[in-house]
Amino acid sequence: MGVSLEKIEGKCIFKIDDGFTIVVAGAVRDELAQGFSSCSEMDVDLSAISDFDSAGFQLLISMQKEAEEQHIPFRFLNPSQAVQTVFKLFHFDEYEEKPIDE
Amino acid sequence: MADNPIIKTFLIESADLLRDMEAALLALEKEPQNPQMIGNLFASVHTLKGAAGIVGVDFIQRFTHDLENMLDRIRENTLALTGEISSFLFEVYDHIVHLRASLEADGEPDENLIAEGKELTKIINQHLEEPTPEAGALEEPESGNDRWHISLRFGPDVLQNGMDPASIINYMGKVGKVNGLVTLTNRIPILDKISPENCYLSFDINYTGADNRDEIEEIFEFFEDDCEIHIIPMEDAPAAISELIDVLPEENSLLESNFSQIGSLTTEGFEENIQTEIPDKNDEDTSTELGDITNNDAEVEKAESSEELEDEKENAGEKPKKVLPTMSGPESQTIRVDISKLDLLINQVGELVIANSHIRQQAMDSENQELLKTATDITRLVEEIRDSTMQVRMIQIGSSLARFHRVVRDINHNLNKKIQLVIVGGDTELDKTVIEKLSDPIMHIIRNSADHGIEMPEDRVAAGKPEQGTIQIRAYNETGVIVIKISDDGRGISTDKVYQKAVSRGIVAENQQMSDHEIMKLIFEPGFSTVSNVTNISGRGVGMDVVNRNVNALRGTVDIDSIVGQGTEVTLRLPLSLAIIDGFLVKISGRFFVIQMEIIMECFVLNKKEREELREREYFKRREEIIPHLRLRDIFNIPGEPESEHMVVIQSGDRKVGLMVDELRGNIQAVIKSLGRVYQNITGVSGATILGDGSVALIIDAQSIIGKIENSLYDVEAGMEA
Repeated sequence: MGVSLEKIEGKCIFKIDDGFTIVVAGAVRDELAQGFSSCSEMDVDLSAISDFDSAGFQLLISMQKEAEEQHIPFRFLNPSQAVQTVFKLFHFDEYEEKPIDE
Repeated sequence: MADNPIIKTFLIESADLLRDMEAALLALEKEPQNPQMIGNLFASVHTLKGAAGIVGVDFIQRFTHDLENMLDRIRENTLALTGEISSFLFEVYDHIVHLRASLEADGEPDENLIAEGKELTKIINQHLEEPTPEAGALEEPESGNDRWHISLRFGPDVLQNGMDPASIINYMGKVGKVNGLVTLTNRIPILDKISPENCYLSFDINYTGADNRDEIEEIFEFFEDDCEIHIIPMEDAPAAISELIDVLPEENSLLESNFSQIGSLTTEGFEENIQTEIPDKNDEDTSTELGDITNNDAEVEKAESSEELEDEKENAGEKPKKVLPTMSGPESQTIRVDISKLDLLINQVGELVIANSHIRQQAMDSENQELLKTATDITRLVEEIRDSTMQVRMIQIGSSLARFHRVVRDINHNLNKKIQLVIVGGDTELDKTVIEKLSDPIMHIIRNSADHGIEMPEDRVAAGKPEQGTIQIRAYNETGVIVIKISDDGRGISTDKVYQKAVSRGIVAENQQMSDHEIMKLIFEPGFSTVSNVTNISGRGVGMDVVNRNVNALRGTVDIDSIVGQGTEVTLRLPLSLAIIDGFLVKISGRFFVIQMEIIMECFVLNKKEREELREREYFKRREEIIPHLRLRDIFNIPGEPESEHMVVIQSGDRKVGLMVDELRGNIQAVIKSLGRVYQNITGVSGATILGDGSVALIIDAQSIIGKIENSLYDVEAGMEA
């Protein structure tokens, strides 16, 4: 499990690798929470998530709400197969598929 | 794979279901028409299929799906449960057991298992294709009653309890059709407030796929305690739907929008409904406005603004609402507890017992009466806690013994024998760990009895015995121990044969004088087997010595008695508890020993004359009884001559022995500490305990001491005979 954060001129790109499930949810939450400061815009790259469940889904929505509260533009990008499976089950379509640097 | 908490839960639940399935199969072998057992069999497979589907174990779900269809036909009386099909179902059961084992080990079945599954499925499908006895007699399934609205409001613990809403929705899609779904994320907090292991999700679903409510409820069976579930047949909409909207905690407008989106609510139907339908109110509240929620406990005014509603949502657990039929069943009388939590509790109680003995010792030394009284009160409470904690780990032995019915059944099948297994005293309780570790030893003893003890039916009849042989497992409590006797009415064991075999294997010297009892015990020597034909069931000579070792490791003993032509009895004796015992402290030349309280019959001081007499004789007379004795200091090679001596008479089974010690020091609670591997095989000692002053006392192993005395007695008898 890994969360990486890249900042380009105030725009934050979170990338979550490997498993994003209840097993690592606590640790991921802590890492995500730390990276939230000083972002003027936020993208979350979901392309490298290999395993995903409801706990992971909740954290993503939690991030989305945090960004809304801080009035930060926010996008989910390029969900992996594992993420798309859950998104489909939950009829959740608030994501985009495009190259990261756009 | 078994690290995944969801899979862990499934493995536990599936073990129970497989036990139920096997019990039903065994019962149906004797009574193929028993409707309750057929129902039980179907239910366990059906639930197993459902659970596998929910947690995503597709290979088990697929296999049990076809099996369930076959069992459904049996249940509907359109497929007869013949002996052939019954045997086949045992094979199917074994296959599922292997599938479960492969899930636990590797996560996936290997090629052989997959191939086996395909073969079995082929046969299942052949049975499914068999024509029904009365064509056309089947009822047409109800149609048109299979659309439902389902609202799920998951509780916080559902993820931690091993359920994943995503898996549940996925499974629903497999067994039916999700026509429409909305995920409610309103309860999910922002990042610095969220507890990631809690569940905040809710779903409103329009669903097709079940003919009746029971089928839908079965989908949610595994988490009904962790979720508020509302199931409404669409034929009852829109009245029931509008009632539901009032009951659910979310804002009505949100719910209306969601329900419309998924097709559970049409605008016209809803508007019509709110004109004419007023939800049931409490009697004392006939004048409330539409939209108010009331119940017996509190009134809640409809929120005027969305902020108020947000606050209400946060207090969702306390929000009063009308009660609609939900799935919460009667409160469970049992809860499942992780065994590691129990082990931790017992360790802590053990430390408490030791610490308490420190306090008691210091209270006694201080001679402060108030303090001593308090220490005594606390000791009593600690003893009660100790007993209660020990009790928690005790389970009835019957449930573990029941599995041996299957063992005997298989042996009957494989060897063409007729053997029945009778279990007596199944409600006798024993520590869970001890029961688990006894499973293999008992299995081997039963297999020995069935394979080598019980004769073929025709031989039994020729010998004037009933055609059917009997193996009996009897469990009962004796002082301080549990006794398990496994006996058969077979051909018995010949001591001559045993002796000859032992000589031929060099275990004993030729012409060595031995009692029958000693000869029987040779069976426990490694590499011993008197069986001329080794079968695949037993007889490789690796069994009884392992049985002996396993039982000894539990501080128990094994004995064997046999009469040729009549049968054999193997007796296991085990301590009731592995952890804490009531003990009696004795002293020998400054060293402390503990004797288990339950085996002590009496203690008395020895006068000088008696002490001199006892030096000359190995027996003493007490109340017309002749009892052998020994000095504990001789057993443990403790030098010195004490100023006084006492006799402690102990009893194990029907054997009494007197132990001579220097001083009697009174009752203690002894927390048993292992001696470690180096000292494990010391005769006469089974463990140690820490006393109140920090010193160590060894715990006497009465069984081995009694055994020592017996052997010396047999030497005496042998000498007398010679």
